[in-house]
Amino acid sequence: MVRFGARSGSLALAILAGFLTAPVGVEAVTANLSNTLDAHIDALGELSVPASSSLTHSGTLFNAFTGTVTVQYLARTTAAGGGNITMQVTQDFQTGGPSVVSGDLTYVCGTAGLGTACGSSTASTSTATSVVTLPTSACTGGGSPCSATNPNTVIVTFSLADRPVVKTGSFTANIQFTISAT
Amino acid sequence: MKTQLIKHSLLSAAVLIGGASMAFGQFAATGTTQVSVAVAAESAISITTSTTSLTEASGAGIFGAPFTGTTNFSYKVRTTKVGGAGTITVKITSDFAAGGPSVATPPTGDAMTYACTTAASATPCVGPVTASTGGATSVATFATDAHSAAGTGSSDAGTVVWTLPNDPIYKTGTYTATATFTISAT
Repeated sequence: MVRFGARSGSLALAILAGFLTAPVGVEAVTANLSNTLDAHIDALGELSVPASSSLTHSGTLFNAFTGTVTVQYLARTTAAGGGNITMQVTQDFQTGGPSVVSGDLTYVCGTAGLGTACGSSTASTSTATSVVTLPTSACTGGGSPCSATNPNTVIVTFSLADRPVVKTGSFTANIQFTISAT
Repeated sequence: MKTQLIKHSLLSAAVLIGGASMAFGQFAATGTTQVSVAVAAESAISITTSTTSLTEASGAGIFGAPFTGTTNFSYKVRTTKVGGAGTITVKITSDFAAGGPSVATPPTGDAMTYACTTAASATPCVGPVTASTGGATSVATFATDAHSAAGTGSSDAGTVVWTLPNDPIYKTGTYTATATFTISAT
């Protein structure tokens, strides 16, 4: 029993040594496997605007009320696509107040971080009006060929006519910004 | 213990990333902002006749008619919807020179007076009103919730028709006075 046990122990050590060291002359087998990684990246656009903005003026000379809205956006367009950011007044000021329908609200865009900003425009309740036009192969962030900043921004400055016929009080309107990219 | 530390680190990183994302607000295909404006009572006036010449009516005869002239003005006004009011006043801030007519100390019966017209947004003064160097006198008053004409750039118009007696006591010459108009609204 003792001898059997000794032989068995030597065999076990030999097997263990086989696992721990690669015997000289034993050919290693290497398996090369290929796998295709297919990333399908679509055109994309997203934006963010502040919940509210106040239009104010100083003095008593019926100067227009002014205020700004900073639009932050992320965009990626295809080589054959493009995109745009538009805005539409979804709720006009209350009765007795200023009137978007009457053309009281105009706006002008500052320099766009990506794309071409609008010029001077009149806001509308019935149609979406341009804020930024995105070119083909546009992308946000990371530097050339994309923009240097992330997110991109464009400042929209609103001007609201201060007509004497408007009653005193506080008035609000809702403006929806929409981005699209292809 | 080590596992707990790793979990804690991952949680901290997630919180930091979440915080950074929130700083940019919620990004989506659309976003809505609410623009608000507080419209207060306002008023403004423009004197469209910068120099008003007071002249004697032709053919009135010797000392037969006073010197008269009309000052035109335009104004914009908005008074408070409830409890608002407003005024247009005038004050002679520079009197005629010595030897001529006088607003401050006119010869008896020679006081310079005026009458007013305005648009419907105001109630004009009822002439004749005696002009004064000592205090502002009324040209028009505005009621609560008064509004001048609609339309951007539009305004209402009014006039002040001056009357200055033609007294032989005045020396010949050209005399000028300055009338300052003030509009206010609450």
